[in-house]
Amino acid sequence: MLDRHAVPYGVKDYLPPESYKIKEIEHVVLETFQRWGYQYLITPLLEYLPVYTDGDSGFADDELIKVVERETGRTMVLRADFTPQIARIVNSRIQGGRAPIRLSYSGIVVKHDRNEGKKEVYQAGIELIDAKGVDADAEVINIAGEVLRRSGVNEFVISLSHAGFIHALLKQLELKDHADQVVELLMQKDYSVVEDIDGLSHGQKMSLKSLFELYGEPGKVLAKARKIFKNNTYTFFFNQIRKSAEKIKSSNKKAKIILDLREMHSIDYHTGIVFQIFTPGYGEELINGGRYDGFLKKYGADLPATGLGINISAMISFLSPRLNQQRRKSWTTWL
Amino acid sequence: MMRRACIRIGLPKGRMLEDSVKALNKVGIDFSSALGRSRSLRFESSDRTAEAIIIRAVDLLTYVEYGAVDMGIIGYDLIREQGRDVITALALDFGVCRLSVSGPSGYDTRRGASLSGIRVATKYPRLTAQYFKGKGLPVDIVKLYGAVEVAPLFGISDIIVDLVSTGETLKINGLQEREVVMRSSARLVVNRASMRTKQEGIDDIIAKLKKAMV
Repeated sequence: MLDRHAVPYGVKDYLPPESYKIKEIEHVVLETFQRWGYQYLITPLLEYLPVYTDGDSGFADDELIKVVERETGRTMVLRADFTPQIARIVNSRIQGGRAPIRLSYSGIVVKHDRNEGKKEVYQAGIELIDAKGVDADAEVINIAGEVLRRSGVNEFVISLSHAGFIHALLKQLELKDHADQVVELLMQKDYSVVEDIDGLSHGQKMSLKSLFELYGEPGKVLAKARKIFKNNTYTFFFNQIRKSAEKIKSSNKKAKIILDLREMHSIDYHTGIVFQIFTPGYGEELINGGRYDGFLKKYGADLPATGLGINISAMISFLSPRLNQQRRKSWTTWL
Repeated sequence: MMRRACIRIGLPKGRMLEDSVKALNKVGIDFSSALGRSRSLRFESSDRTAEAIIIRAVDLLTYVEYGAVDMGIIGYDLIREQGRDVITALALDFGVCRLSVSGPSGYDTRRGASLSGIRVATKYPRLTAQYFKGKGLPVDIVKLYGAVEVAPLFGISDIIVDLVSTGETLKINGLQEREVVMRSSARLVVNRASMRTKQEGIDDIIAKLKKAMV
């Protein structure tokens, strides 16, 4: 019997009342998306491997959970992320219409996590495709703010950064043999070892050190950044950050906005304004997202795009202790 | 003025506890009660702006990643070994040591290349695997939780990868340090959410610690 009762590592049953809470939050989220004009898609659980691995912005092979298709012998992957699926759909299933394309999705994704093994997350998100500029960046972040407020998360901090800025800086530094090492440190958010990297010039070290101090209150950070990093490319990025911070502030009066220009999420994927949203008292972000121009090109048309993903599992763990009064009646006693 | 939220700091049990308390003391956060004989694991700073929790060193990064504490002090060796999703904000000036390959006197680590695989005992399986993979040496890794330096003596392994500070422990067990895998010292790590939600308070501590080291 025990064998029939076991579930694989890293997955779980969602039982009442948690199951209802997930659906309630999902409902609020999807309704918000719809009001902003996002069309809902349901994507398959399985995809062929190249949807996730082709190109240099792909998933690592060991992150994906794979099975073999009986009919063809091809490798299939369990849905590890929605964005590659949306990219495939946009490039293969749309015949015409107006830009931009606003799409939304929700469901479970599953992949291997470095520390925790296999892990599934209940997610919802949007992609704003064929849309350039700060207005599009701000739209996505403002939707995130609205989702949080309507779900009962009233206090939150929006952390902004700019992948384009980091790309430009890394390029300008001409790190050559050290590029991989520096990128790895940035990915690991390790801002403590610049001095110890053998072979970096004094100037390179100073630039990286300056970068590592660029976080905090937006006005101050930008003022500091403008003094250190002076050329038109940088100025353009800094102006984008200022404009989007202003737009976000005007729609999220109570939210705190901070900049963390060191943060780079996934370097191969993001290209512009990137963000994460945190709430006091919870150790990971509830929402993240950002611009990923160039990603869709790998699937066909080269369309600029931005989007966000809401970690509904995290929202539930954060909100659960605060939602207990609204318990639904359950006629079963659950283990 | 609004009172800042209390900052929770994880301090590692063991060799770095005293230095950690001293470093924080220098910047006005007084946890000296944590060095007493009390068996309690939670201490409030004398001005009540911060709270210390004493945590086993191997667990500290987990506490920081999950936000159970806002920040912590821990060796760089464990940060690299565990690869937890935390912000490593600052290198501190204590806890200096190195992660090294050591073996019995006369044991040639290069011999492994021609053997089916030497056995390496370590508390750091991930860094050890990475290191020997980088050298193209096939090794068998034996994960131990302590007293790694006696492993060759009892035939558990041929060589070890472990922290060395003075080299005294190695000497006593008839081992010689051969190659340095990485250099380590204490680091200040911060939870990713706390870095944003308690930014002023945390930044204040980072800035003061930086200043105190110059």
